[in-house]
Amino acid sequence: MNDSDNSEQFSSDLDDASKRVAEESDQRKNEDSEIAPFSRQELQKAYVRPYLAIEYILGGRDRLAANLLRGHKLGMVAALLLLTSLFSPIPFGAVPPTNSCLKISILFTGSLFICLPCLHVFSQFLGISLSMTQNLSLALIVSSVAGLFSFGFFPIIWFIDYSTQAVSESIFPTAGISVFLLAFALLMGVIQMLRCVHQRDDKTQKMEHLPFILPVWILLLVFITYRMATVLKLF
Amino acid sequence: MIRRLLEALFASALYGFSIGAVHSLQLASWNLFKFPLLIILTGGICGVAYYVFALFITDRLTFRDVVQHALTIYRDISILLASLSPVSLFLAKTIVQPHDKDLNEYPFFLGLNVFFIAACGTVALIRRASDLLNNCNVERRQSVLIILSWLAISLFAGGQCAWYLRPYFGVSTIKDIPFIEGSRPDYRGARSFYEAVYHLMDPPPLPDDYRNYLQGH
Repeated sequence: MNDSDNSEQFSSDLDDASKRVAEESDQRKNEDSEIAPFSRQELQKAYVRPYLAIEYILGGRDRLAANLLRGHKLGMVAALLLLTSLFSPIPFGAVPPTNSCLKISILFTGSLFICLPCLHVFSQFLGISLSMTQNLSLALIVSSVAGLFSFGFFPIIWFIDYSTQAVSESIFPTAGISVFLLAFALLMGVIQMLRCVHQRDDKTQKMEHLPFILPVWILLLVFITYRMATVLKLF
Repeated sequence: MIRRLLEALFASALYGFSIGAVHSLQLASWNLFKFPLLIILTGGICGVAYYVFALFITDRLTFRDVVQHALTIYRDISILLASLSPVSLFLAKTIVQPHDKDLNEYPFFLGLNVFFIAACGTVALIRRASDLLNNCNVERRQSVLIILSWLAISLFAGGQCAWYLRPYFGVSTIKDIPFIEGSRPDYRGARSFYEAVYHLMDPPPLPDDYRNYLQGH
């Protein structure tokens, strides 16, 4: 009798131990798969070394999304995105055919600030618990990525303008090619924002309606950017 | 990296010489400079865009990786084309040369070299995509996307570079051929690579003085 009791006790202990090991292993797996947001030190470095900002915004979207959606160091992230949005399109604007350092920054960032209140109010109204800074940061991903792509395109548009001598009666005037590249840059910005939103994890389940609002807001942003381009005489 | 650059420049100069020989020794000699210049110019103006696209698609590539891979693609294409330069040179010297009334075998030579460039480009890109896959741990879909985006940028900007630095070939009846045509309109009036491509799809009528153009007037 004693032997059988002992063996039952032993097998129950064994089951408990194996359950505990499995739970610990699951927990460890979750911890490993959880993406770490950018730390204060990393963000501070990005202010001093702009190439790090490029890497964080374009290549580190998982971690950037973790910052935005969990609200970690949001102020620093928003400031970094804003600075990138303002400064990275300057080279594209400075070269022909735009010939104005600020126009492209105004085009992307200005249009975004016009549309931002709409995003924030509608998301609050529909119960998406994102703070103003979170919405701002999320929206700034579009303008910062668009700005970075325009930075990548500036040697190309400069060379095209130089080598075609900007003939106005051309079938493909440089201004048209420039608008095409800017539209492409905006598209990449939108794609990057949507990729960030799709990174959401268990901690951000409150935002499940966000992917439904964003397409409508993006349409508004595209329309306002088009109008802004007309006002800035980019066509 | 410098070695790869030098290899690319040397190999491209070799191929440039072989195709320029269809017109004259003068154009062939000019191509010794123009082809390496084309590579430097295209790589220079597309470099930042290559990096931005690579980062957008994957976070596994650094700027140094991007430069190395882009340079290796240029090197590979140049070396593959250089291996075909004896074939091109032989054909350049043996085709039935054009005269005032007929282009003869010149279009065949032109088409064959376009095929050579396309084939070498494809082989080099496939090889580089597999290297990205194996050596940099980039996923298959991402490596294909990176290579395709680089190809699109190179065609978009490199096409205009190539157009600006033309001619590389040339009908031998045209005597006073310039070192580079620059933004001078071509015989159909195209002022850029993009217009030239558009004219291929929707060709405008040839100008009345086309025969004079063929004779270099």
